[in-house]
Amino acid sequence: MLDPQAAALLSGPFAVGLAAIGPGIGIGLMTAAYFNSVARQPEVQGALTAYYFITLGVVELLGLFGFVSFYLLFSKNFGH
Amino acid sequence: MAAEHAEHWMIPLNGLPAPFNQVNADTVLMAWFTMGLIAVIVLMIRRNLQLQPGKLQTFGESLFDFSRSITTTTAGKRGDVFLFYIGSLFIFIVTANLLGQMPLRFIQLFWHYPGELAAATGDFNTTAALAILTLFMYFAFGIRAKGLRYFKHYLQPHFLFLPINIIEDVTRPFSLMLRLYANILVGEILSMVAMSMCPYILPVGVIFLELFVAVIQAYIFAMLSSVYISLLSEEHH
Repeated sequence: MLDPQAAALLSGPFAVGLAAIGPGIGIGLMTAAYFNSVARQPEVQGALTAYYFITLGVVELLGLFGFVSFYLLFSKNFGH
Repeated sequence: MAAEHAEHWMIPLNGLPAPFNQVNADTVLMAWFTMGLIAVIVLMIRRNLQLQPGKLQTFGESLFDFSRSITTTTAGKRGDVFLFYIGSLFIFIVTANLLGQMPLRFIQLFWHYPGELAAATGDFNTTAALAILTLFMYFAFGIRAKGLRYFKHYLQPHFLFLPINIIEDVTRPFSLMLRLYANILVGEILSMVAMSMCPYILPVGVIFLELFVAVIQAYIFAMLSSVYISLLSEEHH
């Protein structure tokens, strides 16, 4: 059996890693689509870049949720 | 280690109810410093305006043009109504983020205080205030544009969507708040980790990344606020 303290310590890095999977796939797909469309039609780049960055922020947030939960948990319970 | 980081200098305020009875003095100091810096720069820019702009005036005009490009890409000409809000939001956040990249830790060599002077946006109290301001703004502009018909959008596709539409009013400011706060916090921790691994060359790369992230996050915050305001103040088909 795993010691509860050790399990709690392990859960934080797992949370960060698992939370990074989805945004990783999402940002990869998004950037690929962005490059594809700019390569086909270079004149849409100005309009696309703005929306690209907005969507980047939206997708990235899910990864940051994992990190923030890890950080708040650890600084509260294992700090000092 | 990481837990020492982002520790705040809390000053208790007696006689107020629970969540309001302390204030993060370092965040407030940095926010005031940011506002003062912006005010000084803007007053310097507008002191002598000329038809043929000098260096400072060109800088101010490019800031204005950039803020205006944020509102025009989302709302077109209608965006000029809320340009004042989006522009000041962008300028405040970008200044606060970039001030956080300055080596402010050296102040502790002369004056030891509990806490740390870092970016004002690295504390979620600041970003929550900004996000709640955006919430009020899109209510205000929506009601100004549509009157009481504004509240009809809660029932918009179907009345069954009412709970989702109400929850959206909570998640929008919450996600705005968390995105900016978490990005700045991650940046601070990342540069701290880089400095503890190799203090000579490695932090330069991380700090370059942070400068990029600082501008991008300010842009995203202003852009999303602009999208929300324009989305909720436009007439529906």
